[in-house]
Amino acid sequence: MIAKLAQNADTVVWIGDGENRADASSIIDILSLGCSKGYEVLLETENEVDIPILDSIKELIDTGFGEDVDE
Amino acid sequence: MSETESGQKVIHGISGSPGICIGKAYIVDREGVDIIKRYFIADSSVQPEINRFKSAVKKAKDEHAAIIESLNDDLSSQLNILETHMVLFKDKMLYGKTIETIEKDQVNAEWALKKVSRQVKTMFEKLEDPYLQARVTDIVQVSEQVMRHLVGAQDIKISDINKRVILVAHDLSPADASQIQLERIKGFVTDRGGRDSHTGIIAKSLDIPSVLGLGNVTQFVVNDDIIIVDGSNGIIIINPDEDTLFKYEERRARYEEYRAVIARDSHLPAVTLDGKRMGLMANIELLEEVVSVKDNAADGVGLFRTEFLYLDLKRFPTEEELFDKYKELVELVTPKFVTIRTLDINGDKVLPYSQTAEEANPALGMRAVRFCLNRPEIFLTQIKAILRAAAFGNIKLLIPMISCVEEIIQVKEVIETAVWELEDEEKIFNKNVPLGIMIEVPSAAIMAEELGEYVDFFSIGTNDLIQYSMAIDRRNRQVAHLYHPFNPAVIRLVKMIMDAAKKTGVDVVMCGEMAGDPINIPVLMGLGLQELSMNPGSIPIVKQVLRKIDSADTEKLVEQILKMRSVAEISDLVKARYKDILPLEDSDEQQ
Repeated sequence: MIAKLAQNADTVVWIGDGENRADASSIIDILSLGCSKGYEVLLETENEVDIPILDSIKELIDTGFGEDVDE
Repeated sequence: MSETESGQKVIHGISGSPGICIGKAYIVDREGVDIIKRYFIADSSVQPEINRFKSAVKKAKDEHAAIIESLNDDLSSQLNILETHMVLFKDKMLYGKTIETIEKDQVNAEWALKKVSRQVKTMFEKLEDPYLQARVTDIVQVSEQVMRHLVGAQDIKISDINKRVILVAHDLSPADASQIQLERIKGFVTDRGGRDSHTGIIAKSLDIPSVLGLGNVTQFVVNDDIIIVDGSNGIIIINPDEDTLFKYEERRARYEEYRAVIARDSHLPAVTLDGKRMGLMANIELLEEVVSVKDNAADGVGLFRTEFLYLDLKRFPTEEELFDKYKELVELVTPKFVTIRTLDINGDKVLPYSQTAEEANPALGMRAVRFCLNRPEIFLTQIKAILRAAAFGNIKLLIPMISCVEEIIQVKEVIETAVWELEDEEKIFNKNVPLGIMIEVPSAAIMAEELGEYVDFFSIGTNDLIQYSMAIDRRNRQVAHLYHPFNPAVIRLVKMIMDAAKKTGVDVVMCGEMAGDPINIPVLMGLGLQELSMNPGSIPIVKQVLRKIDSADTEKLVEQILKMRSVAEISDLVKARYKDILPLEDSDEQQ
C-alpha cells in the first residue's frame, strides 16, 4: 500500500525509524526495516512537491491500513 | 500403439501438417526449475539477458493479472495478497537488484534472480517479528513465478538447439512456436492438441511435418531416439527397424520431390490456360499465420476468423484490444485486403464466460450473427474496432450466418450506430468498408438476389451450406459419408447464388473447405467463381491445377453436371475429364 503510493512520487520517498531508512517504493525494503505494529516512523522526501504523497502515506498509517497490515 | 520384436513402436495421433521426416528426438521439458545453472555471459550479451529477464517478469505479471481478473467473489479475500504480489514483481529490491546483478556479475538471469531472492530471504530471517518473517513466502512465490517463465518458457531451450531434431513436447504454445527456428527443427510431435486446436493451427502455419494428440508420447521417447514422423497419416514410429527406415526414407524423398515441383510454380500468377485469373486468398485466425499467407503468395486474407481472441480471454475483449490486433493484421497484409468475419460463436465454439441457455441444437440456435444481434453491445464493440482498423489498411467486413433480409437490415443499423459513436468520440476510422455476408444457410441462398441489394459481396461458406442443406452433421460418423460437395443440390445452390450475384452486381468469394480441394477447382471455375479463399497451405496446389485448365472447358463441364442427379455421376465425370491434372489421390502422401 505504502509502496504503491510512493511509486507515484517524483523523487525518492524515504521511510525510516530514525536509525535506518528504506526506499518507500519498495515493499521489500520497507519490510526489512522490521517495523512492527506500534512503531513510530519518519517520512522524508527530497522535494516538496511530493509532500502530498507523504500526507497520504501518513493517513494510511494513521488509519491502520484499513485491515490490511501487509506493510 | 503397437510394438514389434525389434522394439519399434508405432503410435497413432492426429495429422498436424503433412510430410515425412526422420530424425533424433529432442524432448522439450517444462520441469527443472529446481536446478539453476550458473553461466557467465559476454559484455555484448548483458543487455539481451536483461531483456530476457524483463520479458519473463512481464509474462509472469500478465499471467498474474489474468488470475486476479478471473477471481470470483468467493476468493476476493485473496485479492490483497495477489495485488501485493503484483507490486512485488517490479520491486526495486527484487527487480532492480536482479538487473544490477546481471550487469555487475555478468551472469545469467536465472542465477542473478536466485542470488537476489536468497539475499532477501536471509535478510528477512533476521527479523524478529514473526508476521514480517512470514512475508518472505510472498517474495519466494513471486520470484518462483518469474523463474518458471525464465526456465520453463522454452525460448532458451528451443532457440538453443544446434542440431536438426524432431521436437517432442507435451504441447506447444504460440510463444514456443515463435521460437522454433525452422532450419533446425525437422518436425514436431505433441501429447496434446487436435486438428482444430491452437497447436493444430500452429502446425499448419509452420508447415513442417507434425503429429499431434499422441496422448503420452513424451513418456515413451528419450532424447536421441530415432523417430519417423509421418505427418500425412498422423503416425509416428519410435526406433524403427531397418526395413521401415528404408521404406520411409524412400517415401520422404518422393514427397519432397512433389513439394519441390509445387513450390517452384507457387510464385506464378493464378491464371487458366486461356488467361482467366482467379484470386486465391487465405483463411486464417492467428496473426502468426500471416507468414504462411505471404509464403504461399496469397492474394490477401479472404477470411479472418475472429473467435480466437474471444476464446483466449476469460471475458469479452475490449474495443482497444480488438483494435490493436486488427490494426496489426491489416498493416501486415496491406495493400492486399483482409476480410474480417465478425464473431461466429456458439456453433462449434462456445465462450466459457458467456453461457447462453442450454440448447438442444447449437448449430440451429443462438449462434453467430443471431448471438451478436441479441447482445448488440458486444457486436458494436467489435464493429467499432474493425472500422477503426480500416483506417490503417484495406478491410472488408463479413457477417456470418445471415438467414433473412431483416437480419442484414439490423446489422446495418448497428454499423450506423458504430459510425455515429466513433464520430462522436472523434476517433480515426474508415466508414467505407465493403460489407459482405456469408451465404451458408439455404434460405440465404434462395433469397440471395434480395440480400444482394444490401451488401457489396457474398462469401459462400460451403461447410455449413452443405451441412444445412443436406441436414448432415459431418462430425456424426454414421452420416458423415453423405456429406459431399459434389452433391447435385449443393452445386445447384452455388449456381443459384452465382446467378443472383450477377443480377445484383455483387462479388462472390468461396471460403469453405470446398474451395481448397483441387478436384473441385474445375467445377468452381465453371460455375463462375473468381475468388477462392482457403487454408494457406492449399494455395500452391490449387494454383497448379488452375494453371492447367481452360475456363471454356469448365463451363461445358458444369453444364453437364447441372443435369446430373448423384454424387457418383459427378465425381466420375470430373475425375475422368481431369485425371491428368489432379494430384494422385491414391498415394500415401496426400491424405
